[in-house]
Amino acid sequence: MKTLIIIPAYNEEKNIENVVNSIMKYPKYDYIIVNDCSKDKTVDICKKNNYNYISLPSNLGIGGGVQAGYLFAVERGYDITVQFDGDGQHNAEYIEKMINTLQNEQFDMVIGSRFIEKNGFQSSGMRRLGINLIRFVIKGCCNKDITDATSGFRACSKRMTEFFSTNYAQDYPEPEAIVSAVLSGYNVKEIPVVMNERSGGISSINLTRSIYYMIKVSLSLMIYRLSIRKREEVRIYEH
Amino acid sequence: MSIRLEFSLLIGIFFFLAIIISLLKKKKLNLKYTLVWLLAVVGMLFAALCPSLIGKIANFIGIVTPINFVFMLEGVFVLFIILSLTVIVSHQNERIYRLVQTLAILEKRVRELEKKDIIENEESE
Repeated sequence: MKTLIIIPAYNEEKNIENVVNSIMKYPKYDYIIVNDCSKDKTVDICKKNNYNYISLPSNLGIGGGVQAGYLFAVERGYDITVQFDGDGQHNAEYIEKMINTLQNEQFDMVIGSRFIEKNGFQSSGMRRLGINLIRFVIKGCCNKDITDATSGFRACSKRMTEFFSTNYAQDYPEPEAIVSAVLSGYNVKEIPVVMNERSGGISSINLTRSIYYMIKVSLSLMIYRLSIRKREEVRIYEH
Repeated sequence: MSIRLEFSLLIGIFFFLAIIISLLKKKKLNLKYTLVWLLAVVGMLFAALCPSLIGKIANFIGIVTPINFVFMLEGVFVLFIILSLTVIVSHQNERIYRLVQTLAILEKRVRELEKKDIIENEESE
C-alpha cells in the first residue's frame, strides 16, 4: 500500500523541520510538503534539506493547497493519503492507527479528533464553542456526529482521494469536505488522537475571523446540503 | 414622447452599440460575455421605438409614471450584469486554482527529471 502524507504549509519556517523529522521516523510513508506560496523561508528550508515538496506559484489557501496534494497523489498512484498539518499540531504516531482503521474497517475517510477522549491540547473555549456549533450543523445537514470537524488530521482511501482531487471546498475546507464526503455516500469515521499546541508561528484564525468563519461555514454547509441531494453518487467510481 | 427625444435616444443607443462593436473588433471583449450587453441594446431600442408599450407595461405592474419603470429596468439590468460577472469570476477562480496546482506539480516533476539527468550524466562520464 503506497501511502502519501500531505503536509500543507504556509509560513511554517519555524515548524516545518520538526514536522518532517517526526514523519521521517516512519520511512514506509512518503510525504509531500505543499508550500502555499509562503512569504517566509519555508521553501528555502525545503530546498536546503532536500525535502519532497511542491511549491504553488500563487497563494490558494489551505483548500487549494491540500487539493494540490490530492492531485499529486492521484497522479503518482498512491493508495492512501494522510493530511497532516505543517504547524506541529499533529502527532505522527497516530498515522498508523488511522491507516489501520481505514483499511481494516473499509472506511473512506478517518478523521483524528481531539475531543473524543479529551486528552492533550483542547483549544480555547471560544473555538470549542465554534466547533460544537459546526458539529450541530453537520449533524443537521447529513446526520453524522463529527466531534472535531475542523481537524486537519485525516486519512483518505484511494477513491476518496480521487473524489477530493476534483471536488474540494476551497475557503474553509475541513467541515465542507466532511459534508460532501458523507452526502456523496462515502464512509467517514472519527478516532481519538492527542494534539499539541502550535509550537511556533501564529494560527491563521483569530477571534473576529472566527465569528465570520462560523457564519460562513454554517451557511456553506447548509447550501451544500441543498445543492447536493446525493446526486453526486453517480460520480463515485466503482473499483 | 416627442420625436426629438426619440431621435436623441436612438443616437445614444447607436453610440453604445458602436462602442461594443469596436471593443469586440479590438478583441477587448469576448463575444460570450458581450451577449448580455447586446441584449441590453435590444431592450433599449425596444423602449425607444415603442414608448407606448413601456407605458402600458408600467401601468400593468402598478407603476404610475413610465419613467420610473425605465429606472427600475435599469436597476434590474445592472443587478443582472453584476451577477453574471460574479459567475464568470467564480468560474475563472476555479480554473486558476487548477492551473496553479498543475503548474506546481509539473515544476516538481521538472526538478526530479533534472536531478535524474545530472546523475545519469555523471555516470556516463
